Amino acid sequence: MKNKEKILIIIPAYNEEKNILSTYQEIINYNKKMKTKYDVIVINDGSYDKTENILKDNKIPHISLVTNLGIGGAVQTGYKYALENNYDVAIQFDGDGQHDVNCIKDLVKPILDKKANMTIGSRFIKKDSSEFQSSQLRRIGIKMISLVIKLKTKKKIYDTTSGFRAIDKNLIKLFTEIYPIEYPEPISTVYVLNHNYKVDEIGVNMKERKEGKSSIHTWKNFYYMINVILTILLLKRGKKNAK
Amino acid sequence: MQSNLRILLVVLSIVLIITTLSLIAKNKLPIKYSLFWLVASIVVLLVGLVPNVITFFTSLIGFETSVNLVTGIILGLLLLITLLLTIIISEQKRKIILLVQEVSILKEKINK
Repeated sequence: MKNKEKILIIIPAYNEEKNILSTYQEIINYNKKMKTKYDVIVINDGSYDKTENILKDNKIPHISLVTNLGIGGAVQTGYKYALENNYDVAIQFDGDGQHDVNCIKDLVKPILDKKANMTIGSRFIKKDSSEFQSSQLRRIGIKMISLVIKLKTKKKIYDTTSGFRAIDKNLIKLFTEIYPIEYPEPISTVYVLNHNYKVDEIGVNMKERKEGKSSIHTWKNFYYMINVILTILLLKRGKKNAK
Repeated sequence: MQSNLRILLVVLSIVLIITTLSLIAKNKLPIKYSLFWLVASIVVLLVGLVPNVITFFTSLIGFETSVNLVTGIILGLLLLITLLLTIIISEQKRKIILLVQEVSILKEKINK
């Protein structure tokens, strides 16, 4: 891998006091071991636990949102930071220890090779690649969203809700201008496909959350499905940008 | 339509028009949002002044009495105003998100 490309890992954190430090240290250790230069920016999304203190005490680079915006607004802040600081690749990485640092290079490579504008870390590409496969019901939901995206864009995306993804400079620019507020992962993927950018899914390993609960609760699942499916169906096709 | 109801409608709409105009004069309500209120009150005023039109539409649409149609018109106007408000709120939410992001990025720069 060439070393001159600037790569940023964006970690949105909402009340992640138990996981955020270990997630950060894993990346720093990986950088030391593999001689990579991944920069990290944590976006503290108005946490009310000790996340802010941990970030300050350990001198972790971070932006603290003055109030809670939700995952979409938080991640978009990271993209704005990436654009301002001229990063070539931005990676969204969860702060809860679900994502595997060792898989980052697999997501970055197709982007540096100009084979894709966006890569999605997927649990479902290689069946045995991921120890964590999510619950039965949630998998059905993911499949339904996958079907709707296929209908809309003719492109099959398997792990539609994966929050482990990398984008290139073009998409950093696009996402600073327009990014979904709620449930951004599947919807932003459709933005990207609608603008004729290339999306690649890469098999990655995902672990169970170490501590705390996922932001998608059972009772919210129904609202989630309606929201995502309706939004995707109503999205207009974008301008033909790339190729 | 009974004449006391007509008087009520006329009085109501005139009060509404005066209130809206004075709010604009005091700079408390921008023209952008007041125009709809003005149009709505003029519709109510016309309903009170020209009851024949209402009687015509009552039989045309199939309402039992003209009073029901008047209620329907007011309900429709209220729904429209609510929809407008939802649009305005969404616009403002988008702007607030932008502001929070920019302020937070600025704060991070200052603290460096």
